[in-house]
Amino acid sequence: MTYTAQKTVRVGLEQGLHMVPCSLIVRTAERFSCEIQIQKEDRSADAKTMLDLLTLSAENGSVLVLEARGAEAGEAVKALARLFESNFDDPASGSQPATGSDR
Amino acid sequence: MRLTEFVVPDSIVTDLDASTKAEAIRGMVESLSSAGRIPAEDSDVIISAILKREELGSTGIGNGVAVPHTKHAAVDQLTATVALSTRGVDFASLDGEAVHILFLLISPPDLPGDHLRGLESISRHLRNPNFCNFLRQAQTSTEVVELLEEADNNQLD
Repeated sequence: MTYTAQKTVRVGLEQGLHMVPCSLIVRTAERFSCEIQIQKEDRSADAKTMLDLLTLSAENGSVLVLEARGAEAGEAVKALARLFESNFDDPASGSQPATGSDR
Repeated sequence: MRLTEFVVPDSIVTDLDASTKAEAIRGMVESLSSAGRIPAEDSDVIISAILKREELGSTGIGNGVAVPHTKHAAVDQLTATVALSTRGVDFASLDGEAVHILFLLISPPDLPGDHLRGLESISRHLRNPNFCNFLRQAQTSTEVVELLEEADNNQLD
């Protein structure tokens, strides 16, 4: 039996989905064995591949669809959605309180 | 965005003399400065900013490729150079492999969209094994520019 899960998220980063948030996506996606795609309009990227993610060119406000297929698909989509919902803990986004970290 | 719109031909280095990340970044920034695209007095600040960005996570994204970058007001448009290293540079890459192809990007601070489109263009072409293989074999900056043009025209697919 194949499990699938899907969720729509919005990029809330002033600088868009640049390399730092992309590497967080890769790191999170790699914790799961299922296949995970991120779609922006007609483009689709493998969430575990940096070069793929960078081709999304997702600016602030872009709407993306997270889609996982396989074991723990639901958990994988939830974990990735959490990154977007917390704005990748980016202090510069202004929507998160300072965490005390100097990054 | 086309690669030839933002890669500065006169700054391309085909035999990068560097074995460390810091040496590679310095060599590439100084090459952009020699080509007249960034003021010499800004070089050190730009080099420091790029190295600081590397501390957040290596831009060595695997497959022998690195894309070090920063934002700086010394440029008013997306500005990049390409360097090739035969022996490879230790870039603390995600896959642990040495880096042979480097794209260094400097973006104006107020144009995040252009930065993303530049990264999109570079990564889209680097996914093409033909582009990477030909690039690694290029001996002169003229050959690199020709490859960038062929990639822009989708002639390498």
